Amino acid sequence: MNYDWNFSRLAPYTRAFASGTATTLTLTFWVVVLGTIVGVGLGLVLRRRAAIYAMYPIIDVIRAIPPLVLLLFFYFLLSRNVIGRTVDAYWVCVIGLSLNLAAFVADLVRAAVANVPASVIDAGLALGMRRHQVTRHVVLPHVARELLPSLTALYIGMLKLSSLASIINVRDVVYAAQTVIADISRSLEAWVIVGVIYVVLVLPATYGARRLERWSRRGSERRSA
Amino acid sequence: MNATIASPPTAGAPPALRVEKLRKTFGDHTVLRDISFELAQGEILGVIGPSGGGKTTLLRCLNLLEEPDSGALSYFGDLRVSVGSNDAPKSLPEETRTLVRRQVGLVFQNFNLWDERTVLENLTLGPTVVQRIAREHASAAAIELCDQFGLARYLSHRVWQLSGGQKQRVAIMRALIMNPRLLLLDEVTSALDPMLAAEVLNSIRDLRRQGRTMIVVTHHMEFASSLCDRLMFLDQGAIVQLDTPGSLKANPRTDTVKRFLEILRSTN
Ligand SMILES: Nc1ncnc2c1ncn2[C@@H]1O[C@H](COP(=O)(O)OP(=O)(O)O)[C@@H](O)[C@H]1O
Ligand SMILES: [Mg+2]
Repeated sequence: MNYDWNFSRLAPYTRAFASGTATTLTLTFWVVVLGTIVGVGLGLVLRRRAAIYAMYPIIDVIRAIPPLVLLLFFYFLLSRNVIGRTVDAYWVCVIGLSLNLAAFVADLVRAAVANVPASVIDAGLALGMRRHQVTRHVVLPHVARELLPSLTALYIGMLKLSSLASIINVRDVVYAAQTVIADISRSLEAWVIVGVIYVVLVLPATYGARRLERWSRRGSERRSA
Repeated sequence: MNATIASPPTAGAPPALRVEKLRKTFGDHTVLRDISFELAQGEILGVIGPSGGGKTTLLRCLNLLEEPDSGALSYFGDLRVSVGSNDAPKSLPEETRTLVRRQVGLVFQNFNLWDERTVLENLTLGPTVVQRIAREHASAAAIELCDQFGLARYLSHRVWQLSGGQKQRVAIMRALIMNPRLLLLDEVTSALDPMLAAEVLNSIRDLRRQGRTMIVVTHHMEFASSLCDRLMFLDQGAIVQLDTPGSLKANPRTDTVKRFLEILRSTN
């Protein structure tokens, strides 16, 4: 290999990478929180037939648009020219990616809610629970358990998708790498570091998700035994 | 109604339940046709009859999990529900349903427990959500019940880890912890082998000693005769006979009843 690796030149950028990592994490956090809340809400609304006709086209369209395009669209939509004021790129990114996540979560939740056995619901009703109490205390916990593996996979995907944020100048970990490259032209080292950071963030989440999945699968195997 | 009430345990008090001309259809299939009967407070009524006769549907209607097409139900003289008449609303308001269900507990034939939750959670969810009882108090009540039912060791087990008999007792406890004035039990032993069934039947005998008003759907004739004040024979959605266990066995009104009793005798 002829390339002269030199990571020490990147030392002055440690802080930039650290704050970029922090941004990546908080960004993902907000996307996951907002995307889940909106997605679950939509998923519950989608139980009604009228809502299915009204909402599904919108959800399908959002799911069809590549996240990068969605981000750029919102970046130019939420600007001074169009709405009279600028929205911070960080929040543009939160909005765009949350919307993407919400569309996927809504579809998952709708399907899972539709598949909750009537017996599970009847048990709550028979005790005198109101509809909304059954939804909150019986249906949602059941659905959450069923969806845990798919949701964690989506969340991990969001962590990786957040790397698109640098396109609209959010100072995430990818943006830090671009700074290094512009300053000292050490591309390979910069991308190795970014790659390592993502691996360190994603691997524990993946292992956690796998354990969670095994745990919930064991429950259902015994149940059907 | 030409059946006699055999020594109602609390005469003078309003009936625990009065059912008048209860009708229920699914599509064009009439499952309950003009069912009328009364249940005294403290009385235990057994419901027997061939499967598909409408026993489960009757219990579900009494708890308003199914809305009757028409008829009137009155609980303990003070809670009246009327459907299908001209002045009655098209569909019962949620308020009425929950009010009834808080007084009328239902134990399902197939347990209908929340399998992936613990026994304790299955027991405390009703009291904490419906009656807004503090978690500590609900837990204390659950622990006491589990002691009574011999399941104290299983409080923190998940329901899917339990045996059928244990599950059925949890299902009974889940209804009992709400302290219903009327308890409906749907074939609580049919999913169990004889040993486990015996455990559950003993638990129900204990409930009788506590003076609980109950309607018990069962195929155990021995058990039904010794436990119940009266037996109702339900076939094709109609009450064929409503009598004390003694007179039902001595004078079956129709051939169906007679044959059914013979089959039960030969299989139990
Ligand atoms: N949800 C339902 N939809 C349609 N038909 C039903 C439903 N529930 C019960 N039935 C029908 O009503 C009849 C009585 O059923 P059921 O009350 O379960 O009888 P039993 O408990 O005595 O065996 C059966 O013919 C059954 O197929
Ligand atoms: Mg039945």
